[in-house]
Amino acid sequence: MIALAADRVGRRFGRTWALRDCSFEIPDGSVTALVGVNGAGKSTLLTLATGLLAPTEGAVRVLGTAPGSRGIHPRVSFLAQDKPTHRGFTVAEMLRFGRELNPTWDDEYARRLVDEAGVGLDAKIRTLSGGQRTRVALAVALGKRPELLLLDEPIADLDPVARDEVLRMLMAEVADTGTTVVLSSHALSELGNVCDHLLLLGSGRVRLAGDVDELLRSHRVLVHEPAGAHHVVEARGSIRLVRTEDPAAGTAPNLEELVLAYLRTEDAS
Amino acid sequence: MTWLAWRQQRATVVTIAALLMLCAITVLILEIRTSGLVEATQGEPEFFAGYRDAFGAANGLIFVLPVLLGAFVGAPLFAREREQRTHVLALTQSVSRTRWLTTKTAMAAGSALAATGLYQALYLWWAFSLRPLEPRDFTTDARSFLDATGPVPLAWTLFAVVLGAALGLLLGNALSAVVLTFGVVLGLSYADRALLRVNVGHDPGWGGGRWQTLWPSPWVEAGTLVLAAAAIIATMLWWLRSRLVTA
Repeated sequence: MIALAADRVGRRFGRTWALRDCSFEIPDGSVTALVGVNGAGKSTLLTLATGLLAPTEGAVRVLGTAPGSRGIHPRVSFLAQDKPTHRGFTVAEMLRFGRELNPTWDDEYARRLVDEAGVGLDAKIRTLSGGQRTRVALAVALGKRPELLLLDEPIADLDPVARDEVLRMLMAEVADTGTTVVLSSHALSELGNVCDHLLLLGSGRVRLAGDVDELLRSHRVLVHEPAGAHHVVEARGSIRLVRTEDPAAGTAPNLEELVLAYLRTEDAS
Repeated sequence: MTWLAWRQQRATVVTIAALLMLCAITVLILEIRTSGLVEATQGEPEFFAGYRDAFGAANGLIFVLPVLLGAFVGAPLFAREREQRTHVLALTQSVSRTRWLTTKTAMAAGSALAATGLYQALYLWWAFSLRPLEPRDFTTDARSFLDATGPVPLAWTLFAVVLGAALGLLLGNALSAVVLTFGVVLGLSYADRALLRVNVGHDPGWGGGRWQTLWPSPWVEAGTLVLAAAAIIATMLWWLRSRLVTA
């Protein structure tokens, strides 16, 4: 089954297209890394999936339905980039917020997530550190027991320890429930351990999409080797990243090398 | 959703209640003094000169109250959500946009209406104890007394809060929404008083003055304002469902 699909989706702000002609399918149960340089359209794409923004052209389908004027699909959770929370609320009140506004709320689970984060229920949100606030926001997103979890840069402003904790919390959730996750991030090295799918945006278009293992298999790094008939994605001095099915050529790239090569060459395809 | 609306507006409601309590104490003291004087002097006007300004202020507050409530209860309602982007949080839970908007607006309008209503009752209570006096000594005109005790201030309050909420939702900035709501509601209610009312002579009785107004009755004025408020709510719902709220 397809959790999130886009069919020639475009979104224009004024005269600028933030997204153009985007088509992709994200399968159920996958963990997808949404990558791209700043302004590539990642946040726009996630916001379109929540229904908070309507596409200018094309269609988005979320868990089989189009997000319409009725708002977000009830089984989708979204964590925006700035992790909005009610800063004057206590942690317990943020959990009550989740409970009051979601019929599928799992209070026991949300409390456990907050407890594991080492955050007291009586603490005011505004007194929490960035990492703690992210984990409370994530507990609210997960407490809804979503089928699809959309996270916009969930670890961008966290220190390495907090990043690790948040990603662990996320992975434990995925392992337990099979929730589909789409997360945008610049933290390429961390993504490798977490994601099995990749969606790479450049200038508002899909540059690369698919299963991570398959993508790594279909690319090779050549050092001091002629590219020959292979399609060159990026050439930096004597090092070339090429697209090929030939396993004999060069060495396999890692996810970070692959993504960087595509990000550095905005015009390549 | 009711819990969220209450939790977000709790501080505002408590502040309004405290200010209302202050007003009640002031009016209570004034009422005790003037009703004592009424008994002692059989309502001779010259003894009451010192209270005329206080009564005028109490009367004037009824017309300023909707402006204040619109600016400080209505305008921040959605403007602060958009400032702190908590509308993104609320609108990605499982409540519909319609319910989010109507619950919050109803809570704000309800508390503002209660404030205006309670203050009107307070004013009426004091005014009634002054009945033996010539009304002209205390109210500038009888129509103004009728308007102060009728449905008009309540309707203005509803209109002001809804307009403030809409401006806040549209602008997404609390300060400009507060200032704009204050200016617009003050301007409109002043225009209503200044342009649509003509003095055609005084009527000394409490029951209504010979003031001609383009409004056939206070109920027509109130009804018009309620319809305007309903139209604004409909516009907000349309806006929220169609355009929305860029992230």
